[in-house]
Amino acid sequence: MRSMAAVYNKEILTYFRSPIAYFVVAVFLLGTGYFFLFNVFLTGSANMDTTLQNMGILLVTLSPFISMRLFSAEYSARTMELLATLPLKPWQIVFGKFLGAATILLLLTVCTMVNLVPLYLYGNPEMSTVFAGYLGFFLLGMACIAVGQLFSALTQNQIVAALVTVAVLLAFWYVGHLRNYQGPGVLRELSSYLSFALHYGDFIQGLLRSEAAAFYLLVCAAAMTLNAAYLEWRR
Amino acid sequence: MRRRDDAQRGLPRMAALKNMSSFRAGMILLLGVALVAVAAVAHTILMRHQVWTSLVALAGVGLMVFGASAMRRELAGMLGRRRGGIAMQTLGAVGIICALAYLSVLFPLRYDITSSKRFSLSEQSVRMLRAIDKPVKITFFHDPMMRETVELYELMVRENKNLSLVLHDPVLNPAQARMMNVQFAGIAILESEDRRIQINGPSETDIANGILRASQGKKQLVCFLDGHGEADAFSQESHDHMEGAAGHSHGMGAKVVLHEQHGMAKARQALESMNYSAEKISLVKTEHTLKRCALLIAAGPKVALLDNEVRAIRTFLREGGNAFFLLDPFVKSGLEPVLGEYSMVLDDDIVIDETNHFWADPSAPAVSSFNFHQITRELPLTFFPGARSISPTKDRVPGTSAIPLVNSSAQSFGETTQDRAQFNEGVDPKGPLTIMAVARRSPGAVRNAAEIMANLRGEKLTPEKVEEKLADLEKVKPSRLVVAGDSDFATNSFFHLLGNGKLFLNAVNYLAAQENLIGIEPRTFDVPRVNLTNQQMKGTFFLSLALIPALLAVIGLAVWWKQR
Repeated sequence: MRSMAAVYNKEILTYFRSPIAYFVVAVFLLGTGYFFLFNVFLTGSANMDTTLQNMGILLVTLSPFISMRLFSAEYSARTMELLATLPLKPWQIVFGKFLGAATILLLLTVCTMVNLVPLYLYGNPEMSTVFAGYLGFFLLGMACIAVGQLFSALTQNQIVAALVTVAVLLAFWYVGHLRNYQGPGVLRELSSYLSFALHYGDFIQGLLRSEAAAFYLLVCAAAMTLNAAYLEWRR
Repeated sequence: MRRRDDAQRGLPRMAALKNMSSFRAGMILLLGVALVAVAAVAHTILMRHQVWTSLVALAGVGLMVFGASAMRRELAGMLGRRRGGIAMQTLGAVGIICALAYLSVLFPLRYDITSSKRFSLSEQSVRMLRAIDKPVKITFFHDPMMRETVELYELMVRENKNLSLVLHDPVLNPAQARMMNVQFAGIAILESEDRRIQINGPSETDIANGILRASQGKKQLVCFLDGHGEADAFSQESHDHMEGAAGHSHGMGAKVVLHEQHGMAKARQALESMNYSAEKISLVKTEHTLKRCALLIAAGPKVALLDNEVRAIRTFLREGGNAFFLLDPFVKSGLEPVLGEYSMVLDDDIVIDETNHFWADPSAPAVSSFNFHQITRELPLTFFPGARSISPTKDRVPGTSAIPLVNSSAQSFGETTQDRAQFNEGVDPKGPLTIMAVARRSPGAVRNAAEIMANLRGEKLTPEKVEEKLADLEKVKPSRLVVAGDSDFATNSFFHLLGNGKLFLNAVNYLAAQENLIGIEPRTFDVPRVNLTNQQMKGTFFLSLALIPALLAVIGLAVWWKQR
């Protein structure tokens, strides 16, 4: 546990010492603010569902820039060998780094909540739905980071890691559209099940589903398992 | 010495033989995997179970087992190595994750945390669904956009084991849709015992009532009025309509032609397939026949009803009955005062629409956009061969509401003379004209209701008479009425064309389904609004878009500068 905490602390420090995290979060908040203002000024709706929907797409495209450096930076700085020889199990390294990135995600999520202040002051939003939406947002973010972390471990180039992750996450986001095409029922069910957007859509409408929450957590688990196995394989 | 040479020569030979047998076993294993893959792909493409795919898969599994058993030493060696162990452990972990995902789908839990509970069933629905004691099979045709309705069906089916649900997409599975006579996504077929009901509505009320109707053995009786030249509900007769042919017109030709031979068997059969029973009734002999009817249809009477018949209909409606009047142009049906009680007047005209009409007949107005109502929901183009218009009464009768459903175009007009089709300014009413309307009457009455109705009938009322009429009106039960200014659209010749049949059936469903309905309040929720002053808008803009992003950008720049 202590070794994992050490990896976590190192990750957090690295994030705060790097300008990338600040810029990524700033760009994310800029986008979120724009969508929020569009929703409030133009539609006059005191709900967060439209904003959260757009935040989901933003997260899918920007979260890889948080996760891209998790392992790729270690390769390029030639510290991966050092990390591999430390008395740490691969899953401890993976989990520690994941928690570090998840903390940045949590900060990002909290920062977006600034939009709730005017909404709450001047309107009467349905807080239960907002809560469900944010829960879905955080779970989606965790899944995105776990997938990004896996691709960061697979390549030494941070940009490649980010771009591949964006492609994969966008595929996960839009895979639900495949259910519109002719095909066997199982494949259609599978495309719906694998869709990030469909599960997220339930959360932002105020519907908590066990299978949606389990899906995001299992995506995290699968990505981290493969990540740890790859590190073990490389040793 | 010679024996040692033999032994030395034999070793590489043994190794070569061993390698060869390993290679063969490996090939057999791969062949087995390939056969299983071929069977899986074939099964996926064919989308149904085939004996040969099973045999191929079986052969594949057999070869895999044989190959693996022949290579057991090599495989054990591979797995015994470090990377083999990692691969096996990873595969195992991924397998467990997949199993957990499958279990999460198999045993789903859902929590509707919206304040209006808009993703949950109402208590009335749940109570009603749990009480159903007969199996009801629901086949719902949906498209991917109807996820919420699918979920509603799934929630309902979960409440009772007697309910089963099959889902189809009519675009992806057109054969199934054709077999069940379904044309559009959004239609559900409910089957129970020998009953078969079709429902279109996506709301909880529509679905719950459909299930209730399907599960109930009693068929609702639709009564077709007889004895005045109405279209016969049991007649299969129909015409070939070569419009423009000499001497054939439903509206304005040399003169108005009334087709007494038109039957309505197609409409009746469609009703029977929806769990209604149909009967012809005559009100001349006995006035109380209507009590058994869930709905009365007067499909184009050619002569006026007798006073006692009108009285029987009025009593039927006052006691909560519902009626569908299809009344052709220039025919005095005797039902005009009854319509007046629902705030409607039949105009003495025929609708001529030079812009929107069917085929070459301007007296057959075609309508493609309708006023929003349960009856006209998702209705395709509909036309009315020879239709009169309907207007509201000068004063609306209190306790009633009349809503136009189908209107002709703004370029149409109502021809008031029977021998020509030419617009006369100031004489012929200008379009849009109402061709079909729905009206409701609620219980209770107000003082001027009696007077308005007396005026409609041309009666003179004393104060005592007013009191008497008011007391009379208090006894009125809620009832519904649909009036169409044409009967031909629902006859055998036109029922199956475009949206005509659907319009007729929707109207009947709307009218007759009422007595079984359970009262579920429609689920509504208000979207919370936020109205900002200019100052509040500026504050919100600054807080949401500028403050924190700018702060983070400055810190990011500082960190970058320091690193530099």
